Amino acid sequence: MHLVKIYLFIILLSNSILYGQLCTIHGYIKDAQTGEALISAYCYNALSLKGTTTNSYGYYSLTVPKGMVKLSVSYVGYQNTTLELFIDKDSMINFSLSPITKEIQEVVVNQNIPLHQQVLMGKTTVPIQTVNSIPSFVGISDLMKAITFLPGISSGREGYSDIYVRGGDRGQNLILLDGMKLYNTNHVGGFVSLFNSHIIKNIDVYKGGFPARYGGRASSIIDISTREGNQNELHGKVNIGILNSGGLIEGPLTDKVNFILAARTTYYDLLNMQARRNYKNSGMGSYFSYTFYDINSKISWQPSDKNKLFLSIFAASDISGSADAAYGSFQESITESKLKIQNIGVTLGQQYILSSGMFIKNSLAYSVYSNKLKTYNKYLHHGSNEINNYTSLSEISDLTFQSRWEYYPSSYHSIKTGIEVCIYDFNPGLNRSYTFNENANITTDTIVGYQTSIHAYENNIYIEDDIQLHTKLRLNVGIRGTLYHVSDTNYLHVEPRISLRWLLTDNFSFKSNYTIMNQYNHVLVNKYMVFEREIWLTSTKDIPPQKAEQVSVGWFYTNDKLKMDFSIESFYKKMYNLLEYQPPIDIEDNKNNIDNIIAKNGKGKAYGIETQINKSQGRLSGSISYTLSWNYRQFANLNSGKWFPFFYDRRHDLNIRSSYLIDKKYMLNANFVLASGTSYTMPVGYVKKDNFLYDYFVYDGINNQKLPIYHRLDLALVKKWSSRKGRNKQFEINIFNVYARKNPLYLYYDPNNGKIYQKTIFTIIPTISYSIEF
Amino acid sequence: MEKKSHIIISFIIMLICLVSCEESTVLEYKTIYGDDKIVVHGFISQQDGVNVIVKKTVPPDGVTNNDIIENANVELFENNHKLFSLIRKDDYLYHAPDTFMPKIGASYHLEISSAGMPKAITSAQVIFAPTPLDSVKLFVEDQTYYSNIVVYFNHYPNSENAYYLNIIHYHNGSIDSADLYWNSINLFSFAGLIENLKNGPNAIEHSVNKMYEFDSILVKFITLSPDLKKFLKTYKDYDSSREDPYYETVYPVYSNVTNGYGIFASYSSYPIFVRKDNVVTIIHEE
Repeated sequence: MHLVKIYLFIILLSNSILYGQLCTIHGYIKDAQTGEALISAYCYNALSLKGTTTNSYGYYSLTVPKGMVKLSVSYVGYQNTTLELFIDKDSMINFSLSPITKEIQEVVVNQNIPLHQQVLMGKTTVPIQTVNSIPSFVGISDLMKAITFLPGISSGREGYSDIYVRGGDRGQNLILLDGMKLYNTNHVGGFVSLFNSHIIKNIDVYKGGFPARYGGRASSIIDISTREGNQNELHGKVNIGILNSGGLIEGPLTDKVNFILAARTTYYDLLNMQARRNYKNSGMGSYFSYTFYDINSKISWQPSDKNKLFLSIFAASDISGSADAAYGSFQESITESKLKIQNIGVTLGQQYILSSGMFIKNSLAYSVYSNKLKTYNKYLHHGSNEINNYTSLSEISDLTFQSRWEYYPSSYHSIKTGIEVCIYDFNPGLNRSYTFNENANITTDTIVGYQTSIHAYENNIYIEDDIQLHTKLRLNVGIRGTLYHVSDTNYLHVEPRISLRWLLTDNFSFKSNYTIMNQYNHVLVNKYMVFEREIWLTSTKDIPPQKAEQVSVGWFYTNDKLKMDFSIESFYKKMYNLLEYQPPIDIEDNKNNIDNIIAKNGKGKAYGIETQINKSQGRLSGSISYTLSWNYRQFANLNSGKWFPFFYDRRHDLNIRSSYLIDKKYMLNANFVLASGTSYTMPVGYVKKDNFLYDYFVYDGINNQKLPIYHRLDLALVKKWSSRKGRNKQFEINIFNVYARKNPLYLYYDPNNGKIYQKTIFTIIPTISYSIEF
Repeated sequence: MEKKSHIIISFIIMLICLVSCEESTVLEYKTIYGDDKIVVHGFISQQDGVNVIVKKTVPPDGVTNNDIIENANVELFENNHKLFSLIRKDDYLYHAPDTFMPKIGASYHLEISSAGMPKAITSAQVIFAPTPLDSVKLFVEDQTYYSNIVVYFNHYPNSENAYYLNIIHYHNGSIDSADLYWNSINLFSFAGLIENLKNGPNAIEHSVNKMYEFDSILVKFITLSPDLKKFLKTYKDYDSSREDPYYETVYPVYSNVTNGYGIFASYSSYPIFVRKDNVVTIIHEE
């Protein structure tokens, strides 16, 4: 007993001695020119051989022994800084790094911590330079399309900005913009995403190994943060393209307040302005109009070194309209329609350094997505007018409060904890149709769908710790608890999250992770004309939350000499309580509760192998990623309850992305995409019409065939130069689908000859754009 | 010189843009087709007997191919005992003898065989009594083109019944020629399916065309068996998906035929005659 007491005394004394010999250095690492916080910048003490990286807000905290320290601070694209000093107490030290001056910087996709050393296996940080370097569709840089070059992430249909992550569906991705949830991320019917790459600062993509601070979606998390604006001087940029243009302005308002504002719009409407004018003046003819815009703005205020506040606002809108008026001897027919899709979000956030090694982030975010369709039909028939008006509204909004605490007690622990409270408002489908006959004054007024909003509440609490168990073994463990309440139903879930990284050698590591994710909000997609309308539903007592369980393992290798990363990962994911549209398909035609038109309790399974080679530096840089995967679904009411391939079951997916620095002014970017075709259902026979029934095709299963292989090459030539006045200019030529490959969008059947045809709408698309900075 | 090259390049790009802006490109696909399979479209009821169309599938791109089965043998079974082979009326239609009346409560199925094709066997169908109509009222609008008929009946709890209204117009005791044509084809249209009713008394409205100038109408209130209801529902959904050019999921039509396609289903109809002089006329004052 005495020996035990002595032993415990020695342990406690040792700890207190050790604790007394340590202190914490913390602060922000920023861009010296703009004042923007640098995310994942590396701070390393060469004397204690310990380092850390900045968090999503540019804050770092490093525990060091008292005495001399030799700090080396680095960030890709910036000049390293070294500082030697004597430290005997907790100290706040902020660093400002100067960017490396080049007219065209090398484009990189890498992390400041080498890939093989990171614990979170499924996480990738996509630098914005990568997004801008990828040859773009119609000349608009697209963040969502850039993400599809990561292994395990595939695009949907030709030209669309949807993403499908490790067998998941498009509605299983949580997309955050400065903390606000975005429910729809597309413009132009899905061909361009909402994100303006000029204002984006950081993109973290998680496709597995989700840390406990994230939840609510089954397949992926995409956490996007915007820039805060230049803190030192006023700058701007104007970008002119063939189909759209945009501008950006940023700068300080005072010495503590700075702002950034960016906007884009298209001018497709100008092309058909005359047709619209003619229709409005004469009431005859037809037209189709379309326009979109998006605005991002942010104001940041730093009243002190430890306290920072920001207000971020986002608004995006797509408006399309059409009209057609036809007149005949005995009848007239007028049809007008208008579809408006809107995304609006606001985040008020605060970052506070409570003490050395303790960082707090609070935010209050509001986001709303709505789509509204209005149609007007007028028929003059046998002397009387019949007029039908139809409106359909679908909307989701949420108000979310988050408080995140980060605590760095030592070099061996990095603890994150927090709470999140969300209030949702769902309006999944309110359809109103009213008809009147002018002569007889008969009116029918039918309202179907939900007539009142549905409120739901989601409360989350989490804790996670990044633990250095050993010099070679690092663990990220966490647990997340969620209570979801809607009407008289409660769902309570506990989700474990665990990731480990084992350094086999200095350059080679093994990683593994296991996660459970529950999803309480679900999306159904309805199509009107060429546009897609997303309808968000909440879990109810009849619609249980979706669930995904995922395990993955991988090997990672970094070659410092070649500046290359190699990785191979495999994953297995099981999904439960999936939703699918069950007939009738046209939700506007549905006169029943929405619950009755969806197939519920579906299951999914996806598994595969992902490989990637990444070269981050040099005149030639880029990546090659290849995914081999399988993806299946099963619903009791579909395909007679048998498993069938998911629509986006692409067996092979190869992406090659490269950038070549020709000289100081010119850069050539190239992408090559090769993927197996998506699934479709091919009939195995045809039953001709008879006296009893109409004709129909017969099938032996859903998604029993694959479309042909998809492949295309995109090129972009970029020229950057400075004018005599010192203004940076850029001219870019983009060619989408250089060899005009006729990739299929969909198949259709011609009843006249009984043959099946392929529809292609995008062949070679060259575009140009010009931008100037001031 | 550089500025000029920018302008030239931009002009070329614009030209290519205009030239390459095509909306669609068409390529022909080969369809897949296995062996011919037997197709059955058959109905059985106490009121109308047994009427069955038997044919075969054709390839998806062979819509003009011959679908006649020359040597089919169609056998009717009652409670799993063979009754007789159906009589062939033409290339497709088979029917039971006129003296045959299905029994209420009995179960019937078909087995169809033909050389070179696997034997097709349908699910068993039970004959049931029809759901009676309480009453029928006919409303005629004096100023509009259409009239409405309302049928009143009881829908029983826990019943999965679905219903169908068939309206036949008579002039001077003869069936209207248009109705004769439409009732000789498309016995059931999925658009007329009535379902999702509340328990207890129900009233269903149906339009009647005033143009026929009828003197009486025959209202057939048809109760559908579960298989027939499922077939019509899936056909309706299949038809909806077919119209959508961007459809991603096809909804196959339900079949209760093993080794084949189609439907053999029972129904039961309850007829009521309504004379025109019993109608309720709604008059709208000017």
